[in-house]
Parts: sequence; C-alpha cells; structure tokens
Amino acid sequence: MIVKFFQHDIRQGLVKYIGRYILAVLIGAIACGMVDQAGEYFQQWYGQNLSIWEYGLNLFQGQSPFVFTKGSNNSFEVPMTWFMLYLCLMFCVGDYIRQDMHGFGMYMMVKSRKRSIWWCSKCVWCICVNLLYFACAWLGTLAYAWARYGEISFRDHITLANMIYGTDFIGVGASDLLVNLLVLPLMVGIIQSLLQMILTVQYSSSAGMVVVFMMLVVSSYYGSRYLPHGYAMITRFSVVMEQMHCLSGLDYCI
Amino acid sequence: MYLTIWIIALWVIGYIIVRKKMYLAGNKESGLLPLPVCSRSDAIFLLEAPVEVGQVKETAAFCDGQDAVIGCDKKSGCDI
Repeated sequence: MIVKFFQHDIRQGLVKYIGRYILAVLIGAIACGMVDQAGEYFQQWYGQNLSIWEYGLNLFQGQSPFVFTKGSNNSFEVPMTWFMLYLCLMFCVGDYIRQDMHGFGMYMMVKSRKRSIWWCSKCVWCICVNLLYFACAWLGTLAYAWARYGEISFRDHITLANMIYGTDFIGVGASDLLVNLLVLPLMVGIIQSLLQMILTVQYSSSAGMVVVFMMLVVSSYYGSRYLPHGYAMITRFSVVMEQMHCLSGLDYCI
Repeated sequence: MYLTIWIIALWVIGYIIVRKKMYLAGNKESGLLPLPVCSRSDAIFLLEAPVEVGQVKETAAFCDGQDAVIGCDKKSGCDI
C-alpha cells in the first residue's frame, strides 16, 4: 500500500513540478560564477582552478552570526547564495501536501483506512525532494565547472581557497568538509521541509512559507545551536568545534 | 545527532497533527454538522450526500467494514 502512496507522491509531487528544480541548477551555476568573479585575480596568480568542493563552499559558506557592538560601524552581509538556496527549496516543496490532502490523497486515505501510511509516504517524498534538489544544485556546479574549464577537478587547492574564502576553513578536515557540504545541508533541508509541511497541514501554505522565511532570516543573523539552519553554514562549523573543545575541556577539568 | 532529533520530533508532531486534522477534515468535508459517525479514531468520513440523524449509512462505514450511524453529540441536545 505504501508503495502506491509513494508512486502517487512521486508522480504528482515531484515529476509534475520538475521544472522548479531548474532553480537549484541555476543557483549552483550562478554561485560558481560569483566565486570565479571574486577570485579571478588569485586564480590567475596561482594558475589553478577551483575544485568542485571549493565551488561548493560558496553555496554552503553562510555567514558568521552578527555581533552588534555599540559605537562600531560593523555591518552584516546576508549570505544571499545560501539564503536563496533554502528559499527556493521552500518553493519546491510548495503547496503539494495541502492539494493532496484535499484531493486524490484523501480518496486513497479513505480506501486504505490508514493516515499513518499517508504521512510516512509524504515524509519519504520530502526526503526525495531534498535529495533531488541538492543533487540539482551540485549538477549546476558540475555543469559550470565543465563548461568553463572543460574539466572537473576534485583536487584540493588549499592556498587558493584560503585566499578566496578567508581563513575560516583552515583546520577543517576533508571528511568534515564533505559532511558539511553533503550531509548537513541535506538534513537541514529535510527539517525545513518537514516544518513547512506540518504548518501547511495545520494552517495554510502561506503560513508555512512565512514561518520558514522568518526562520531563514533569524538564522542568518543569529547563531544558536537550537536553530537547525546554522548547521548548514560551514563558516559556523569552526565556532561549533570551538564550543565542543571548550566543553570537552570543562569535562576534563571536572 | 541534534539534527536527527529534530527530524524525528517533526515526524512525530506531523503524525499527531495529521491524525487529528484528517479526522476533523473528513467530517467537515462531508458537509454535515454531526460529529463522528462512529467513535473509532482510525475512521475517516466522507459522505456523498446529506443524511438524516440516526440514519444507518453504509457508505459512511469506513471503520473495519462496520455500518455507521449518523449522529451528533449529546451536549448539543440530540440523541445518537
């Protein structure tokens, strides 16, 4: 039974709206273009091109939390690439769950007599949407690198990356970097989509979108371990690691 | 770990909301004011046409194949 629900969700919620995922491809490609523009001088100087992972850093780099200090002129730059990526994910999830709840999904639910299967199917659909969405973003990155340089590089260029992105990523290991680029953004995307789905079911699709938008804005400025979006920003990874080291130090002292 | 807890918590909250919401939605969409046709929490009610209070309605019997009796709660003044 769950297979039929899932097939229905894939057909009506994913394949039907496949055009929306072009946005993810575009964001991935545009982000690469922005990095190339910003780091053109360094690339020419070192005679190297960025690898796929280093292009991906721009997508999930994010921004450090804003610390307001009275009397100083420090300003905050919204991490637009990161923000747009998650905003378009919200658009891809959209209103499907509500349409299905009042349409064919209701009929299937009545026939199956199980609401749990309906909800589980929607959760699996949500995971698939996120997988496809982030795969499309990476596809945009790959397509850009291939179109620009005629090859796709996976090698590290530590000095070049440090010149372009700053020293935030010094000390971040390769495995940590891959987790930060591939796993954490996906998990945060799933959390965002689940939250949006719940609010859409309970209230309306606009309520879901407004709350998710507000969460994105708050997460951009404010850093808290209780806000899931912060985990999708690699810039904040070093802060989290420092806190963890402090905690382990406290444990040691105790 | 923390993100996994978030996902599990949202799944559970969503499931509770869907159970509650679908139960109510089924009754509202039937176009009838009377409250649940039968008390089984797993039942969803979609009636195709208005029915009388007390009428036995086979089409509304989605709870394990039992027949359902249309009614309303006793607080509003009518007997089931």
